[in-house]
Order: sequence, then structure tokens, then C-alpha cells
Amino acid sequence: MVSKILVVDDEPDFEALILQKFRRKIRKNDFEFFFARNGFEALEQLKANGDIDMILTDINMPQMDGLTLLEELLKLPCLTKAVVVSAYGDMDNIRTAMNRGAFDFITKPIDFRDLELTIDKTLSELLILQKGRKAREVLSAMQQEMELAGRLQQSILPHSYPECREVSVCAQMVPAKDIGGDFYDFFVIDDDHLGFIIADVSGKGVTAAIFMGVSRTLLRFTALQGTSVDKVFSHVNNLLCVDNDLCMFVTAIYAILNVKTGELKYANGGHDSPMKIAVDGSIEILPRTKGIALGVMEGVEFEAGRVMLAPGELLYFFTDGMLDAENEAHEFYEVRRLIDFLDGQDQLTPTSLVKGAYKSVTDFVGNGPQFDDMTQLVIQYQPTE
Amino acid sequence: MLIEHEVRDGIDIISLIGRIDAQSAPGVNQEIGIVLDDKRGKMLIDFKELDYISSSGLRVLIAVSKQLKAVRGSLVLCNLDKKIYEVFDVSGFTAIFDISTTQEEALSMLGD
Repeated sequence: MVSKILVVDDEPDFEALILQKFRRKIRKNDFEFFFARNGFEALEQLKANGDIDMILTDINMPQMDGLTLLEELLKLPCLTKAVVVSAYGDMDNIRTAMNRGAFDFITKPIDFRDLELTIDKTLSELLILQKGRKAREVLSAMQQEMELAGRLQQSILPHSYPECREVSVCAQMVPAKDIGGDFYDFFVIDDDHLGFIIADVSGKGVTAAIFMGVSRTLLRFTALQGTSVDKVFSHVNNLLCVDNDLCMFVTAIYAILNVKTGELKYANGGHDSPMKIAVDGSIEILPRTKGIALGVMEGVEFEAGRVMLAPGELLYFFTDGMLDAENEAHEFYEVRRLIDFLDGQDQLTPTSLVKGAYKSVTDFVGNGPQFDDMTQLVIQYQPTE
Repeated sequence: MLIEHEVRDGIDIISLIGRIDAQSAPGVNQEIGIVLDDKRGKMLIDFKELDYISSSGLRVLIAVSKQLKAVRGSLVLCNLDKKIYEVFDVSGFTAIFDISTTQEEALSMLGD
């Protein structure tokens, strides 16, 4: 690519000399020269040719001198580098020029070999700066893209809770990065049945988010066919195993609540067991049922568990990002702290538990970073009759 | 995160030291991949000095296990502490990995 160099000097012969000395580079299209007789003309040239790479400027010139030009140059948004030409030994002006952002200086009488080296050095420095600026622009575009993806991801998680008088629901997914691999879902299957899902995809970031999108769609679509919890998991597991070269997997719980009877059936795909919270505050961790994370091994069978919810009882689903939250002393939050928190609650509503448990974890973590996505889903059974 | 590798009686012994999380998992995957390239087909992964493993780490182990199965090789994990064993247990992976308590036991499983 041709490098554009602006030469600023009030000496008319200088132009001819430059063109003669650099004729080969000009012919090879390495350099293209522009000329100005003083600082004003130089600024005009810069305006007309916004992509000038470097300026070679004299100091003493009429109308606007080189030192003033350097000052003006600082106000422009371009990366253009300036090299000043000074009288031999004129240290005062050289120091002033350097302090005003000049990249280098050469002295008169000009040694053209030295000038050529100086130009090459200046241009390669400029190239590094340009690459850096380009990289920052790409990075900032990517950050904006990630932020958008994060908003898209949050928007596909359900926000309005099912219009069902018998159940109240609250859920939250807080990703560790802009986008995450955790998700929750709930949906009406028929007049009597509601479906609930909580899930955690292996890894974090973009790959996890893509796998999350696929898993969520497959699970919801399959679940809405109305088959049993264990069948839904074995079907989705087989689908996720196909062409899964990256060995991604998702741990999940799928539960179906019969809102008329309070009977809840659930399947566990390698996920932390949910907890049942009774009206008196006592906590029961639901028994583990047979099953492993989805997407790992084709043909795996899942077992359905069954539990009865009495009026007022809650089910607390969570992902391991809550338990693995780490404080500055490198301690984990762990299930015992979560149980301690849930155990001590007077107000037992889905919203108060979600907000309270999140606060309990973030208080514990303090100023430490969030390593993993944290997701909670809480349902409360409140039959009307 | 550090990985140590030695070959004993034709068995690759990998020791994992530190934490495998989303950040360190790609490096672990790459280093074990280099060992797998030698196609000895028998691998022992020692968890004795592993402090933490996230789902990204589990993903790497599943990939290693699948690659070994594809060449009829075998993989045994050993020295999982209580917390790490729990991670395997919850995800159901105790059913798909051969896990032994000590390195000696693991070596004899692989030696047969």
C-alpha cells in the first residue's frame, strides 16, 4: 500500500529535491508526496487528504510555523505522525517539538539516507498503531454483538408467568458473561398440567449459548407433545447425541405438575436435585432418579420420580453456579449454605426466595468475580379449593 | 493448571494439578490430545492434585473417553476427592467412567 507523506517547508527547492531523491520509491508506488509551504497549507492538505500517514515539517515558516502545526495536529483525530526538520543543535525547538507529540527529528543539512530510515521507522510505528486501532474497533463491535446476543437470550426465556391460578412462579437467570448456558422454561401442557425445566449447558459463553438455544427448543417442543418426563428426556438425549462432536452436554430437570392433584413427576438428567419446602419451612431434597446429563450417551434410559405437593408447598430448582460461587477466601457457597438460607425464611413465596437466595450468594461472594451462570426457578402450589 | 504426563508399561498416566474451568479446559484438551496422538490406547487420569473441575472440564474428559473408545482403548480415573466425586455423581458420569480409588488399582485395571 502506498504511504502518503506530507512535506511542509517554505523552501521552494526542497520539493524538487525530495521528488528527485525518492524517485524510485515514488515510481514503485511505495511513497506518494504532498507539499505545503507553511502550517496553514499543511492543515488544508490534511483536510483534503484525510489519510496522510506522516508529516515531515520544517520549524521556521511564515504564517504558521512547525511548532504551531504540531499543536494543531494534536487536536485532530488522525494517527498521523510528524517528524520535524530543525537546524543542527537547535535543542530548544527540538525539545518543544517532541513535547508537542513529534515522533522524531532530523537536522539540516539533511542526510537523505538518514531521512529514508526515519521515514521507514515512522511508517512502521504508524502501522502498529493502525493495527491496534483496527483491533479495538473489531473488539468493540464484538462486545456490542455479545451484548445484543445476551439481550436476545434473556428475551427468549419466559418472563410472563403462566396464567394458572393454582401455581405461582418466579425465575431468574444471571449469566457470568454477557451470554450464558443456563436456562429455565415453563409452559402449559393442558388444562391440568404445567411443565417446568431448569438446565445448565456445559461450558460458558458463545458455544454454551448456541447449545442452550438448541436444547431449549428440543426440550420444549418434545415436552409439549404431552409425553411423560422420562420419555421426553430419552428422546431429547438421543437427538442431542447426534453429531455432537464437541461433546457438549446439558444437565436438566424436567417436571410436570398436575395442578388439580398436586402430583409432580420429574426426570433428572444429571442435575442437582430440587428441594421441596413445606409450609412449616422444612426442606426435603427430592430423591435422585436414574439418569445422566443429556447429550453424552445415546440410548440412556431415564427414570421418573414422583412427589406430592401439598397446598402452599414450594419447589426450589437451581443450577450449580449458585453452589460453586466462590468468595475471596476461595470457599464455595455449597449446598449447606443454600439450605441454611432457605431454612431461615419467614416469607415463603417464589419471588422472595429467588431474590433472597441471589442476595445471599452475592453477599457471600463479596467482591469476587462471578464464574458461572446462576439460575433459579421456584414454584408454589396454591390450589383454589 | 498443570498437567504431568508419564508412560509406564505402555499406559499413559496423566496427573491433573490445579483447576480445570472454562479458561483452562482448552489447554488441557490440547495437551491430552497430543498424548492421544501416540495411540497407546490406555490412559489413567489421576485427580489427586486437582482442586476443582467445572462442566467445561467434564466435557474434555468425555471427549477423551469417546476418542479412546473409538480405538477400543480404555480410560480409568483415580483419586477423586469427595467434592469432585460428587460432581461426577450428580451429572451421572460415575456410570460412564471407570473410577478407582488409588493409582495402583487403576493401573491393575488397565493392565489386564
